Amino acid sequence: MNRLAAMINAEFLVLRTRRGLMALTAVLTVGGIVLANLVLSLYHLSNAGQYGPAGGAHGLANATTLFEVTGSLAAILVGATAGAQQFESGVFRSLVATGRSRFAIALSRIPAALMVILPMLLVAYGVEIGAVYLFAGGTALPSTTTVLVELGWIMAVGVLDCCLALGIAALTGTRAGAVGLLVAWEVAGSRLIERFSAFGSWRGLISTVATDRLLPNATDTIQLTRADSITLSVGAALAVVAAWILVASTLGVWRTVTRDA
Amino acid sequence: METAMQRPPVARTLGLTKSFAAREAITGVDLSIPPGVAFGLLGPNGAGKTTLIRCLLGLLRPTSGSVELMGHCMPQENAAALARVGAVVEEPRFYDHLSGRDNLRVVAALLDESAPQRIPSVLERVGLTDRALDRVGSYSLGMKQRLGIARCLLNDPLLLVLDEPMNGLDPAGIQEFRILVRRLVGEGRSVLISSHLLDEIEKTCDVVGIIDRGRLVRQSTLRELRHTSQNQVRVGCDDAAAARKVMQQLSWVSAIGADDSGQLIVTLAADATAASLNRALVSAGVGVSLLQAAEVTLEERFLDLTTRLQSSEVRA
Repeated sequence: MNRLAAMINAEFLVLRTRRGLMALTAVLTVGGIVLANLVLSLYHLSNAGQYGPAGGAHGLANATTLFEVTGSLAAILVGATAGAQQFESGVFRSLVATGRSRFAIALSRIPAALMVILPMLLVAYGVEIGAVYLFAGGTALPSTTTVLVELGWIMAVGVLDCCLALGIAALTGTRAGAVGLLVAWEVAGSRLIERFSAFGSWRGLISTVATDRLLPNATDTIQLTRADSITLSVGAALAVVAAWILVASTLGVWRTVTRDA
Repeated sequence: METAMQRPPVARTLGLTKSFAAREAITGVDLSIPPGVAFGLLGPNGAGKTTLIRCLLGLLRPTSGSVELMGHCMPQENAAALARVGAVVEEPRFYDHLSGRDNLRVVAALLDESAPQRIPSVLERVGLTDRALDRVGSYSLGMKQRLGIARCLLNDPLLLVLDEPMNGLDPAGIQEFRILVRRLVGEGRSVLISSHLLDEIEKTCDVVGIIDRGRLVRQSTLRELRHTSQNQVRVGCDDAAAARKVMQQLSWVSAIGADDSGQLIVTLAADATAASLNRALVSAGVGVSLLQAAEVTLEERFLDLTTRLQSSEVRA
């Protein structure tokens, strides 16, 4: 096994043995889906005329909204922990004192964090797909393409949020700071900026606008307010997501390489 | 010892200076650590010991000056230099949620491929085999110090750098630590220990560097450091008053003092010998029980050197 693979495994070990983090991530992803389907099924059972079944194509669309919140939060938590844990624990100094390249130390965090969050999102999505078919109740089912595009979207958002959090946490050296900053950005900051029509098509560079464009049913025209929209192609949206990942990761790596240990 | 002093040093600094904003933490340090010795870096709290160690290990970029570690220039040849160096800087820090063994696995992943195989033996060596699977969060500070040393040993180092390693150790732990250091030195390794505990450095180390206010004020073997420039003899006898009277008559005795235990400290002329003094005292009927070349303690020399520096700065 080469050294980088061993370092990735070591970082993965540090992350996966954090019981609190793993439990919270599981609750936010798998737990969220289970709970949502349970509540929607109970509504449906109590009043089938007013509430449709939890599953089917409509259920998958609801789950997407849920994933956007809880899946993102889980990815942010994992990424921020992976980015800051060496600094907050004080272990970074010992790692650097081995003489191993700081670049490699920084780089190994990214796949390790993704090895935690992506399987969790995959399991949660698997549970959701099971619910989509199980609780369809005779309503329309999503096409295979929709199921796959939805999966791709969830994974892309997971990778984006995880890498953003990791980069910011490595840059600032604090987990809480990175989580707070990103939650504020995703919940309020980005949503506020995208309403400023003065920014015009530059708003296509906002991460949340780009991920909205990648949703399965989205078109090139993204409605930002009732009277205001911008145009963004899938290719451009993917490029924006990739750029955010690259910039955040580069900043995190740069700080790891340059900071005093 | 002399052979070790003649071999190339395992670590050397030349004019090493590190500033934090306007404050110079260390200034023009010329340090040389010979191979195969326990080197004590002594200094009061805040003297610059940890900053010097961090510069040595490439954890901090020096403001000016150069560092050579294991024959390699730092930080340019960082990887080669640190390949056979183990270090604990300040208190040993670990992932508290991981076991002692898993913490070692994390660091071993960064080292050469044989490092993971050394984990059981290094745990055994520091006496942590029984607690290897327990969370480090449940370890005492002394156990963490031992785990820190185990971490240092993972790459079979030729130089170990231990910053304040005796903090938090109980007397038995300190004694165990001392034995461990001497064993490591016996295996041909060098051990750099920074501490403000004079007594422990005196008992553990062969060579000492004294740092004060960022300056290296003295580096030498303990023997050289204790040695006085004057021809002084410590005398233990059955009648100190009678001995004083006898010695006051001797032209080649230039001063007579006493230490806290009542033993006499006698300064002789350069060509006089302890044997002559013994003869004179015994001839006068004074029973001599001790006759020894006088040496200053490390504490006395340390205080002397650091106080001298303070005085010169005040004068300046």
